[in-house]
Amino acid sequence: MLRNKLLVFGLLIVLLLAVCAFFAPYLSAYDFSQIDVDSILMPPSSEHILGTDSLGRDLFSRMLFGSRVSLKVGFIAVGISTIIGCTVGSIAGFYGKWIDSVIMRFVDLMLCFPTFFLILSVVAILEPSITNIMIIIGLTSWMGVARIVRAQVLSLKEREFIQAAHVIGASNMRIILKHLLPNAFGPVVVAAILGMAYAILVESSLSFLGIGVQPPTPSWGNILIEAKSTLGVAWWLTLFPGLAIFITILGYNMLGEGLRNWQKQ
Amino acid sequence: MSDILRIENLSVSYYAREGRLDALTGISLTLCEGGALGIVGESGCGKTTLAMSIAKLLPDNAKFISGKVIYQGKNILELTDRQLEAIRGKQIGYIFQDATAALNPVISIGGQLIETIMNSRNLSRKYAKDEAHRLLELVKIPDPKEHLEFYAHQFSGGMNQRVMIALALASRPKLLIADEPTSNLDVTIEASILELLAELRQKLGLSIIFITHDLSLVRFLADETAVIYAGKLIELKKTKELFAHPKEAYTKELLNAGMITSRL
Amino acid sequence: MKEALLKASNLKKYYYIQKNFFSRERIEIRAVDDLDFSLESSQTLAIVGESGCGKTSVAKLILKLIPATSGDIIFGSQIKNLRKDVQMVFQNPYNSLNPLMRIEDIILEPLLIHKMSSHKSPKERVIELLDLVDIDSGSRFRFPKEFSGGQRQRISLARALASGPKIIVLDEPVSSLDVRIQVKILNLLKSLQTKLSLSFLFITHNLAVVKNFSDACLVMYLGKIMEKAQALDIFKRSLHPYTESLLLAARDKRSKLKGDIPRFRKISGCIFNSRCPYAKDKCFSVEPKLEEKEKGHFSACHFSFDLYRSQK
Repeated sequence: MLRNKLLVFGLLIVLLLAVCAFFAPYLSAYDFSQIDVDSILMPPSSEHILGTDSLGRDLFSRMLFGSRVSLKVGFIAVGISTIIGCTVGSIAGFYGKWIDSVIMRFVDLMLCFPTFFLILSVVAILEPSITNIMIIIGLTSWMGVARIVRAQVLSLKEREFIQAAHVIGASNMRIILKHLLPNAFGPVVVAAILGMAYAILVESSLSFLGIGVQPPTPSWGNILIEAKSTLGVAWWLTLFPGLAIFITILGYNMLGEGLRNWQKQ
Repeated sequence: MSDILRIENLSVSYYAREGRLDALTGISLTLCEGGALGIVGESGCGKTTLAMSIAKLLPDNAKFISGKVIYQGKNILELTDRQLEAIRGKQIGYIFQDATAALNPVISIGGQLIETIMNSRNLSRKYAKDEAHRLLELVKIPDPKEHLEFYAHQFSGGMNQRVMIALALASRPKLLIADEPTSNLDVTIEASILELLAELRQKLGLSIIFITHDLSLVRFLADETAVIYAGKLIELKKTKELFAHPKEAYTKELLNAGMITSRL
Repeated sequence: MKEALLKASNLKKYYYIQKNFFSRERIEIRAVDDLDFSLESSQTLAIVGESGCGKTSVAKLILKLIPATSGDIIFGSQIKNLRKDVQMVFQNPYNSLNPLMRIEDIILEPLLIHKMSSHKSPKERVIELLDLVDIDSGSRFRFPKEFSGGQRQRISLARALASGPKIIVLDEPVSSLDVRIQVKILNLLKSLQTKLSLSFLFITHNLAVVKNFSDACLVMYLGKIMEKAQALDIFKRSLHPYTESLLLAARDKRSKLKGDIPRFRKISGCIFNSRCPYAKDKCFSVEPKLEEKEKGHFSACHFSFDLYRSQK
């Protein structure tokens, strides 16, 4: 397992992020919304590790709490998409025939949709909030999971232990929940982890556009809004959040790919 | 009659994360030219390791602990890869259990035969094609001319096994190693393949090593039979003797069980 | 006349597959073509045939895992609940147990589904069942991967016995196992049959096992019955060339058959005509019906008596 570098590095990054998010209050020296007019736009120093923003707020603290947002959005969005995807995929794969056809055509339809614009439109119509974006991301990213689960179910269906479950009288629900889905887990977990990367990216983008997480709640995306206008003067406001987003997404992708490789062997 | 193959005190072990597995311990066997040796054992006894050892075709985590595999006077285990190339697949032919999986799915069987023939015998393509035709006739594939163009998936398991035999014979080997060649086949097809092997042995003067878990098969093909259990050679005798007067308890158990599952 | 436990009449299962990727033409595959047979209580009926003869389809039809194209499968009055009274042991021991479930849970499942109540708790019943199939009940918390092929088949058997069935369909239950294990499991099945008054539908390609282990026998080839009789009668004197070839192959490893099993070809006359060493003109034009040639001994061949001498 240690030979799998992707897996190891991915896991390290993800764990690091989790630690930051979990221990945010203990790791940050300052209150993330504390305004300090004397320390506006200070570059990284021993007092403010990553510098301050235009309101004198400590960037490091804001980023730590921003990681909480990222993870929260990620988990819930992925949770929603996984549940929907597993349900849809297992029903399509299990029942087959016309149910499968209808469902898969619907999946194809959803996949053709430019989901990002759908998200934009919805969020623009409703008020932008963390809850809304979590739900909307979840509702538009279940298709990949559905396809994966359906493929797994189709191949598992032919295995004798599934037929045995029919023979002993297990109900369809029981077969799906107890026999099919647990055995389909591997690729679903990989999809979920990669889904995290996607969700975090979307949240950051929406927040950057101003329709995601609203200030004063810090999100890496909305820190970058300010960074845009102060780019020439305060490079740290752009670099650190940008780097954080990049490394986080990279980390989740590496973990997902690493897991996939590990499963294959 | 000289020995074509002599295995002396061969011991092979595998090294894995869980530890060391002694696949073969002190195996000694002899096969004389034109002879047929049956190697019988249950799954996991080491018989496939033995087959692979003869070709020095073991995976990286296997180690030859001791012993020699002497083919026509030369110890295979001490040869370089280059020297082995002249023997493997050329003087020693192999046929395996799953014929359909062993054949290249994207090249016609005629193509594979021609490639093998040209590779091992320096013939021109035209002669190689005639030779391929002849080989398909030899293994009793009907309508050989048409079937040269066929692909592996278009044939049944039994036919593919014949193709594999033809491929193994393409280089005119002296020794044929058959590792469970009929385990996947139906009873009637299995019988016809065994008949074919016996006939080829006579016709071409082949020496054969036949590896199987099914005792009843060796009865009709092998002069001598070796019984292997947990990597050790339990008993080695002329086949008729083994069936009539088995000495070891394990052999007796195998024979008794075999009687119940194949006695008619 | 005692009621049959299971009776199949004119059973047919046809599959239709597309000829290839481009054409709309569909090929009809007659996996099971007009089968008639019955199973009595405490009896073993063997269905013998090589791959592609339809025997596994028969198993799936009986257990209603696939729908029949036509024909009937009628169960006797003792069979009240198909999922309880008829069970199955599958061919591949490495695929018949859910790899993520512990052995105890695997055997508990049918007990829980059918809410089997007795003076014992379900968990105690699991131990009883494992003892019945000679598996150490202490190992019931382990996962399938820790058991050998033979052990897994015994566990599958315990699961099949859990709901107290009257019929167990055994689909090549020992074919992939070493001979010594085969014998152990066959002996186990024999003793269970006596102990629990079970009926077996034993599907196999191994005639020797049929002789030593079954009462009645059905020989199938490409979906049709070639011969049907009591096992002893078939081995005393078979009345069909295909059965003869199976016997010859099993006993002497010899084969008089020509060519390969024909697939995807419409065959007129006797379905065995392309390989039969005795085929005559009539065999290519008229399909032989399955008829009673001797008492209780059926064969689908025009020349059952003309071609054979007594066989031992």
